[in-house]
Amino acid sequence: MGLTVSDLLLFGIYFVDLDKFKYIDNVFYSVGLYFLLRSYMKHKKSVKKKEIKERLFDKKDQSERDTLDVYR
Amino acid sequence: MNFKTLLSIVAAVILIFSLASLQFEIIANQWLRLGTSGIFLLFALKIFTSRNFYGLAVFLLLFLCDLLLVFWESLIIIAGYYVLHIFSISILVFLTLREIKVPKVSKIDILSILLFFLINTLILFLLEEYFNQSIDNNWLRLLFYTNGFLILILVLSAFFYSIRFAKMFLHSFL
Repeated sequence: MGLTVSDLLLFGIYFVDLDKFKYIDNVFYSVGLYFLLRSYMKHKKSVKKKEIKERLFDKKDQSERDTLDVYR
Repeated sequence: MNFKTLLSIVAAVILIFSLASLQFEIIANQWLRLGTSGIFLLFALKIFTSRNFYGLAVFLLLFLCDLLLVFWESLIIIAGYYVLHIFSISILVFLTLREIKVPKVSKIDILSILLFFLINTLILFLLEEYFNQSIDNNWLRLLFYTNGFLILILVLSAFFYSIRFAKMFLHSFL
């Protein structure tokens, strides 16, 4: 959202004469980039957690199968 | 120091610089923008692996856009800026839409989306009039509209994305 607001303001600055808000797009731009990176970080973390969970689940499943094989 | 803390500190410093540049013209706006995207690109390079190429591509393209923004006068540079920006926005739209499964939309939703598009298209046409005053080139106009509409689509997809995940967030509490 920050990136979008920044872009809209950028258009405003170049094509409309808005002297008062001349440099405000940078504020939204940096906020936008920050949150974009943060959301990627969160996504990466959640993917890692999911992978670990799946790996653990697979291991558990395998060990259960091994135990069953022993009983058989 | 934790990577997350470092990122927050750097972002805060950039934000202070950006706010300061509103009052005092310490650094030229375009250079500040280029520096901002450059620093975030460095952080992105640290985060992303070759597996998530699209995420890194967005930061790289935005950095290149800002580089072109410094030399904004020539027509080729302006066209290049729009093309790169269109690519970066398209990737962001693709990444957002990939996460959203088909959302349930009511009549009010459709009406508000239409209203949103109508108002923003009007703004886009208004901006195009100013754009037309300085540059009279059909290709650039086309790029300008594509870029503008893609930004609108990105806003809408971000809106649906936040609705979906906000609902998920609420569900986890209920």
